[in-house]
Amino acid sequence: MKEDGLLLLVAVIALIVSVSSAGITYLSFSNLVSQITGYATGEANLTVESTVSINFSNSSVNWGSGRVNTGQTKAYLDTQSGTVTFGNWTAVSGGLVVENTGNVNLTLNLTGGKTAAQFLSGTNPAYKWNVSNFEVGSCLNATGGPPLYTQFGKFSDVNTSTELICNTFRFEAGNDTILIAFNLTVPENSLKGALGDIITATAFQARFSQKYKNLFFQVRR
Amino acid sequence: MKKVFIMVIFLICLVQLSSANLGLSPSKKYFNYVPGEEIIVKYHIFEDNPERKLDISVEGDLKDYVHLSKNELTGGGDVTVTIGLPESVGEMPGDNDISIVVKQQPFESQFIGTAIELSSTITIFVPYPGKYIQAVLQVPNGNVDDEIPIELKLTNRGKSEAGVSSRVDIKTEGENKGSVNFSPFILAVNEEKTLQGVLNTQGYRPGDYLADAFVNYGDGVSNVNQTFRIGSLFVNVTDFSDELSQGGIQKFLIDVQSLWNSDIDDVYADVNISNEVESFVFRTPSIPLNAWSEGTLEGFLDTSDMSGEYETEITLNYLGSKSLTSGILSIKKSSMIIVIIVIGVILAVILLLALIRRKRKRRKR
Repeated sequence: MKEDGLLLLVAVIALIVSVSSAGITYLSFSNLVSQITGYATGEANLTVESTVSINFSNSSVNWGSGRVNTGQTKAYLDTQSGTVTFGNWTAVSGGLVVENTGNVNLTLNLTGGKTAAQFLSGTNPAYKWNVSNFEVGSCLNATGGPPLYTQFGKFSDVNTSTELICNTFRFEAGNDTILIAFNLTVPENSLKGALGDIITATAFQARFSQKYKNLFFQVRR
Repeated sequence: MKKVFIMVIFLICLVQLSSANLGLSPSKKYFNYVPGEEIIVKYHIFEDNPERKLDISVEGDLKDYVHLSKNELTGGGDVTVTIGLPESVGEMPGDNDISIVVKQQPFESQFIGTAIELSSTITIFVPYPGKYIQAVLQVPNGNVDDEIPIELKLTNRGKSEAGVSSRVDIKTEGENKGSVNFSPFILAVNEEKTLQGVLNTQGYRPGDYLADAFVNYGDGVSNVNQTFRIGSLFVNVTDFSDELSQGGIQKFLIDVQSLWNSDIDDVYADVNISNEVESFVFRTPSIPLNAWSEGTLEGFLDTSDMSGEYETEITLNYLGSKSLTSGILSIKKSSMIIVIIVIGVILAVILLLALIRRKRKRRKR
């Protein structure tokens, strides 16, 4: 009997202590919250500056030293197929890889430094480029459709005038890279020695990102 | 170990030489013209090759009023552009663009090398004489019995404040279907205000519409318009299989197009193919269709015991609605069987000719 009473007393004391502790904890927490909300608030501001940036991850095409094979009048060098035909230059695959590494869409132009006659000379030389998407959808027109450059994805003579390639050269990762492949026809009577040309990529922030067709007219009285 | 170390350094050098990177920040800045004001813009240029020379220049309108802290850099760095605006720019209202151009000087290269040229635009807006309001209209696609938000953003690009009253007419096939009117208000110089309205499409038919906005500001009227579409809960069957080969399980395809401005999660078809003698019924698996998008439903039909022509009835099911289409399905004997038969006949003829020739030779002996 005595033991039962003692146990009961301990249980009651434990109950009182538990309830009190819970109450004290609750009150302390409320006080803490009111102390925190009583502090002054501040602001965090952030400005992200726009950046135009181009990277040639593959910035040169070099077939090394070679010649047209004996008995042939021309050799053909093609980076798209990665082949050299009727010549002993080292084959090169791919071409120039151009990536938009900025954080805005760009308008991209390309300019060649020389024509085929200036670069190679000889009888019927050819110097052609093929600009295509290395990543799907990288190069678009101003309204998000296929590029207006009529030779996109095809071989055409390298242009020594500025050629508009992409009205919209996208910046999103996975859709921001194009490839410039080259096809050369080197005649046996071409210029000799170290021959070279420079392809210039010119870019600026794309002007238009029109979602809606807006036709604007102004009438002045 | 030494050889490996040298090889690694060689490879690193090769990798370094084969890439070229150039960056310019900020890419675009916009300022309003204030007579006699000095504008300073600081540019940062990123160049991954510390030995690459860069040329920096200015092009475009107002370039005579621009001063560069540097005309050349080696590797990356900072350039400060200072524009001293004149007290008067004469007749040059609107956007006047100045281009800050950074160009890599190319290295001598064998065969084909590269150079990058980047430009950043500083636009100085010169107010138009008198009053001038520029308007931009945005109207998204919607559905029938829906509320389509209309936004008309107005900016005072003139030299005087202007009282503005505007409305947006909704037209289709040249016919005015309704208007959204906005209350008149005063717009201060360089102030911008976005007017928001709602087009209730109850009673409108699905189709293509033109939102035509008129903004009257006293000295003139700005007019801007934009096309938009009103959809209805309808999925159209644009094409379906009309000929299958006889024999085995064949795919029956149904091309569909949604004319609804919202996504539909489940679109499926119940297909009934029948003639006077027999009937075959099957259901295609469902596909989701995004707003205004196209898709293809695939069903399967056992054509082993089928031949000739059958009537096709297709019932499309989506969001509790249905579309019905009918047509003709032809079951033709497999062209492969015909080819095999023809080859067999040819072989048989060749064998026969060979046998006849052999017999003749024996007779001659």
